[in-house]
Amino acid sequence: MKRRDIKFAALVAVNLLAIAGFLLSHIGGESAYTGWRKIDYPALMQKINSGDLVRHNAEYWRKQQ
Amino acid sequence: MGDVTCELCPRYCTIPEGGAGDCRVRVNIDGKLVATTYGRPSSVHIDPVEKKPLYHFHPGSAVFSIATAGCNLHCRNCQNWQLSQRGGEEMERIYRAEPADVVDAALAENCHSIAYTYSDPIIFYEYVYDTSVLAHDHGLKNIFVTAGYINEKPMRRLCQVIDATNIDLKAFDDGFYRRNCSGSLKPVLDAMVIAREEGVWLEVTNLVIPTLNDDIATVRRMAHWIRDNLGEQTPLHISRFTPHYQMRNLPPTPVESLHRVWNEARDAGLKYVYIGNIYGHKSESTYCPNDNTRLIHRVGFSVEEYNLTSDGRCPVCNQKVSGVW
Repeated sequence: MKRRDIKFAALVAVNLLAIAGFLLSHIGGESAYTGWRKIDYPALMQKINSGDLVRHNAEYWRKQQ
Repeated sequence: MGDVTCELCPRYCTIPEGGAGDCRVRVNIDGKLVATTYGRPSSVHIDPVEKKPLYHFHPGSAVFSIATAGCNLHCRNCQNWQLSQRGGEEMERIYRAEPADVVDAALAENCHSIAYTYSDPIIFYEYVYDTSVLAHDHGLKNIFVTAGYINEKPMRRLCQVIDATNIDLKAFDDGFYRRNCSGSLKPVLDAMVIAREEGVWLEVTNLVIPTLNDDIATVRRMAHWIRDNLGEQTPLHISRFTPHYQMRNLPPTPVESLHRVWNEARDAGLKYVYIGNIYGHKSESTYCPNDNTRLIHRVGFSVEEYNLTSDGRCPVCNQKVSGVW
């Protein structure tokens, strides 16, 4: 294998690793449309404290763990 | 303390502390699931009932309409995306309106009903339920305008307090739901059947989007499914798509496509098929399924002429017309 080919193969490998890392980072955690979402929690608490939002019990539809 | 799983809709979001469900407004705070927008609508309007659209439920009546931030679907063509695709903490305008305030305002404005609408009211379920109970106590009706992406138990419970619903059947194609709404078809079909079983007045809307859900074979299957599972008397609203949000690359639905869908639905045996979002179209009006007498003449959301008898019959042939009049 020529030096140029080794460089190219290494470049491909690095890219594949980067793609794999990106995909793995989205397994099991926050995702765009399923499971749950990260939110701006301090902003939420600020609005709750000011009364703009509330902490109304929604446990009726909570599955017991 | 710890994760909580929300069982309200088919997503079954398992939410860690400090996180929200996919809808953005049902949040895990200190290990408890809370509804953050209860009594905090971001949209409040008075609409004609025709705007919901409901054409066979007290035509011409005024409806006090509310919505909070958030939604459990993420439709690429959403026309209310500034409301539906945000959490409460992102909203600039939030009103304080507890259930009693909503009922008082609806009565003060001489509204006949309260509609839970604009975003999907499934996600502010507790607010809908409590307001609906109070509304009934004061002689008001409740209208639930939804995409129907909800689990069976909460849907059946809700049906005990709502009077009418329009369910948006976005396409008769599970792939469409997955690609364009991040949802699935079956729960929506189930919700429609439940509404029918529980005796809630039901009308169905289908927004026809060029190239995405206007395939005539699929439309035929949809119309047959509605006829066989909901009944031929179920009003179907065929609506024209206009470009919004992430789907600005498509043109508005050609009128000919809407006519094709309309013909297919009528051929399937559906008695009341309407075309929406085309101002002044003759298919905005209600006709007698027996002798074709024009019973309710509509232009846009306005009722121009009302010819039904007080018990909802055609004045010419006495044909009973399904609805709540």
